[in-house]
Amino acid sequence: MSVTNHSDVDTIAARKIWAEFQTQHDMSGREGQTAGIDPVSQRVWIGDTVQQVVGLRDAEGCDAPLFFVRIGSPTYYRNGGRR
Amino acid sequence: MIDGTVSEEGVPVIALEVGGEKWIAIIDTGFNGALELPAGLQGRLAGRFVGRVVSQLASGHEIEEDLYLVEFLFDGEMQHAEAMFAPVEEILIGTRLLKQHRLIVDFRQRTVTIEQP
Repeated sequence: MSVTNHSDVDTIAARKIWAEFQTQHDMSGREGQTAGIDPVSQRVWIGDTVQQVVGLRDAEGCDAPLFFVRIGSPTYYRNGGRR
Repeated sequence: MIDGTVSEEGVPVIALEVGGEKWIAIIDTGFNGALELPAGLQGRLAGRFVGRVVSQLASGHEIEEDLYLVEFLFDGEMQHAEAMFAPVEEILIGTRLLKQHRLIVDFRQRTVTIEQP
């Protein structure tokens, strides 16, 4: 059974925005927190969880899908490896 | 409190009712997300697409995945849980869903207990 795949998040652009963001902002002390990057508006929201980041985004009247990163980690999840 | 078992294959599992059906859920302490759900549940759970994430698999490979927030009943409480959908047959529960719980796996007695201390 196929799984819906959203291709409307430009994750390449999001990674560039995140790399630039980190050169301009001190992320020390934020390891483990979640950053959500909107590749269109180039906005970045930071919170403790995805839910919190989405809440911050929603509070600003934005509904764009985000690219989520875990600060200080190369990936967001470490998976069980079933795939 | 949730009671489960250690399967014949040595995997901690619990039974959950999701979308009106009974599902087997594997407790995977190597997975630091909340939920990996069978694709068949995608249209049956209240949830919304929120973006993309990168996951590292046990093989070391990295994959990009769609991320959803879903309403998921767990241990008597409705959770607003992070979830990915995959072409799999079982629910995978990760450590994020267990953040407020104590997990006890007794491999000799083949019992699993998930409780809020």
